Amino acid sequence: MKAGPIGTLIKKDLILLFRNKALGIMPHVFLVLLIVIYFIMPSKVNEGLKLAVYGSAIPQILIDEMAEEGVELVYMNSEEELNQGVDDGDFIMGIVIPSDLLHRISSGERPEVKAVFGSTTLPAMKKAELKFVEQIVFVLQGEPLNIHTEEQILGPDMTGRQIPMRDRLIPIFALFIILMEIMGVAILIVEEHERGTLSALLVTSMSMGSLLTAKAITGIGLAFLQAVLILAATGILISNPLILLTGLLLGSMLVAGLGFLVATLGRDIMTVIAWSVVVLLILFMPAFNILLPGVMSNWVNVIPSHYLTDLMHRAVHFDARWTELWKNCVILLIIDLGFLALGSFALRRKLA
Amino acid sequence: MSASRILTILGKDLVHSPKSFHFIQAVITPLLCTLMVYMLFGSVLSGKPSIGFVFDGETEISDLIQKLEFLRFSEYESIDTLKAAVLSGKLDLGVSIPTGFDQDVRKGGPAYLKSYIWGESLMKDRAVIFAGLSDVLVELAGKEVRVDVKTITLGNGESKPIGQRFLPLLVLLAIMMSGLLIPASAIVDEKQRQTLTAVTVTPASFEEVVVAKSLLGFIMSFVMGVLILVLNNSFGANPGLLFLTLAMAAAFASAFGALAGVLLKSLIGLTNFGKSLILIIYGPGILSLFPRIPQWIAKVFPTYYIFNPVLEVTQNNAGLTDIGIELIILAILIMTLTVIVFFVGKHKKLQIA
Repeated sequence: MKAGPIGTLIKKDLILLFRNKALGIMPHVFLVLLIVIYFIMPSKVNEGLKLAVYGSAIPQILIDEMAEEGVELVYMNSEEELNQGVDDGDFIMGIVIPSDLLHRISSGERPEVKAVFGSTTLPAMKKAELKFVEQIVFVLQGEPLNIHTEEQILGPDMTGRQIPMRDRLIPIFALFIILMEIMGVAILIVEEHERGTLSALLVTSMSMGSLLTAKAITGIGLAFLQAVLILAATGILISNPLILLTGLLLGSMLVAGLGFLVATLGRDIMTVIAWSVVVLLILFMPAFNILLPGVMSNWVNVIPSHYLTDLMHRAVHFDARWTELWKNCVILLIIDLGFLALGSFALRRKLA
Repeated sequence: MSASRILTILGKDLVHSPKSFHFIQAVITPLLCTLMVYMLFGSVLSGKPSIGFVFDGETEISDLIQKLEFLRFSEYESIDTLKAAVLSGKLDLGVSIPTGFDQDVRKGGPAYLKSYIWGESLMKDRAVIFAGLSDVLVELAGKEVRVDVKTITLGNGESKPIGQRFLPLLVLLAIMMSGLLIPASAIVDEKQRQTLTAVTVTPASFEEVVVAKSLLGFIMSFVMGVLILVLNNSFGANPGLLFLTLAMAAAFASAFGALAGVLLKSLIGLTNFGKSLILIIYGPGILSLFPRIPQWIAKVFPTYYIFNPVLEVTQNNAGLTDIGIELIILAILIMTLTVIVFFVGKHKKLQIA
C-alpha cells in the first residue's frame, strides 16, 4: 500500500465533492444553520416555579420549605399588580388569599381563595398548580400530617445546574453529522462502481487495499472535521477536549466500516440511500436517551453508537474523565476495527 | 401545451411513481411522524412528571394518585426495579409505601415512607409531584382543605397541549415532502435514465412533462395534507378555507419541487438538496415549538406563509380576513416560483435538445 496513490485519490474525491454544489456546499450550509440554531435557543433552564401571592401572610417556614422544593412565593402589593404579573408571564399563577382566612375557617366558613392563571397555562398544569394553593391553605389551617419521608437522590444531583436543551442537542447533532457520512462513504464507492471508474482505477498500480483506505480516510476525515467544527463553534469542545476528540475520531471510524457494509448491500445509489437510512435510524436510537432520559429500554445499550453518545454526554455534561470513559473508548475501538474488517472483506468480495 | 398529453403523462406517473423510493418516503415519513407524535405526546413528551410506586400492602393511594391527571403513574414490583427506573430517568420520583401505611395515616401518624428522587429531574417537576402527593395524603387522612378555590384565567385564549401544537408542523411536513420530492425525483429520474430526451422527441414538450410532474406533486401534496388532518381530526371551524390553504400550499410545494427537478442533475443531488433545506423548510414549525424564541424570525421563511395559515385555521378558527395577507404573500410566492420554473425550464430544455 503506497501513500502516493491514496493521497491522490483522496484529493480527487474532495475536489469532485466540492465541485458538486449539492454534495459539497449544502451540507456545510446545514452545519452553519445548526450552529445558528444553537445560539438562538435558550441557554438556561427555568427550573423553578414562581407564584405571586396577595393577601394573607404566609409563614416564613412554609415559604422556605416551598423554596427548597423549587416553588418561589413572591408577595404583591395589590391584586392588580398580581394580575399584571401573571398576564405578563412573570408568574405561573397568582394566589389571592383573604387576609382573614384563618378567622373565617375557624368560624366554620369556607372562604374563597382565587387562583389566577395566564391564558397560556395548559388545563393539566392548572390542575397541578391548584394543588399548590391547597397545600398552602392546608398548612395555614395548622393541621400538619404526621408523615415522615426518607429521601434519597439517585444519580448526580443536577439541582441548580440543569443541562439546557441546546447543550443536550449538540452531541446529538455531532452524532447525526457523523452518521450521515455512512451514506457519504457508501455513495463514494457505489458511484465509482456504477460509472466504471472503479475498475479503471484497479487496472492502474492502485491496489484494492489502497482504494479502500483512501475511501475510508475521506469518509472519516469529513465526518470527524464536521463534528469537531460543530462542537468547537458552540464552545462545547472546551470541556474535556481530548476525550471528545478521541470519541469523535472513534465514531468517525465506525462510519468507514459501516459505509463499506452498506456499499456492499446496495446495488445502486438509491438502494444505498435506503439502507443507509435504516442503519442511521438504528444507530441514532441511543441519542433519544439523552434527549428524553428513560424513553428507551436498556436493550438500546447494545447498539454501537451508545458508547459514543454516552461518552460525549458524560464528558460534556458530567465532566467524566478517562478513568470513567476508557471502557467506552476500548469498546468503540474494537467495534470500529470489527466493522472495518468485515466491511473491507465484504467489499473486496463484491468488487473482485 | 396540450391538456390531453399532460393528463397522459400524469396517468403514467400515477401508475409508476408509487414504486419509487422518494414517493414512498414522501408518503410514509409524515404518517410515521404522526404516529410517533401521537405515541410520544401521550406519554413521555406530555410534559407531565412521572411517579412510580412500590406497594407493600393494600392501600388506597394507587386509586387516589391515578385520579391526578397531571402526573404519569406507574407501579413496580420491587424496590430494585423502582430505583432502576428512577436512575434511568423514566421516573422523576419513586415512592415505597410500607404495609399498614393507610391505617397509620388515618390514626394521625406517625407514618413513614421512602422516596427516591431522580437527580436530573427539574425542581418544578418535583414540586408538582410533591403537591399532588400531599393532596393524596390529605385525602387519605380524611382531612380537607376548607376553602373554595375560584379559578380565574386572564386573556381569552386557551392553551393547546404540546402534542396538538405539532399538528401544523406535521401538515407542513406532509405537504412539503410530497410536493418537493415527488415532482423533483420524477423529473430527475427521467433525466438520469434519459427517458426525458425520448419523451421530448414525441409531440409531448418539456414544459408539458414538467407540468404533469408538478400536477402529480400537487395532487399528492394536497392529499397528504388532508390525510394528516383527517388522522388528527382537526379541520377547525372553517374547512373550506382550510382546503383553499392546503391547495395553495400544495401549489407552492410542487412548484418548488418542479424547480428542484429542473435544476438538479441526479437523485443523490436531490437527496442532499432536501437534506440541506430541512431547516429552511421546516424552520417556522420548529420555531413555534420554542415560544421563547422571537417568533418574528419565522416570517423570514417562505414556508411560514403555509404554516401559519394552517395553524390559525385549525387551532384558532381564523377566517379569511385573519390570514388574508399571508395567503396573498403565498400566492405571490407561487407565481414567482412558477415564472422562475418557466424561464429556467426553457434554458434547460435547450440543453437537453
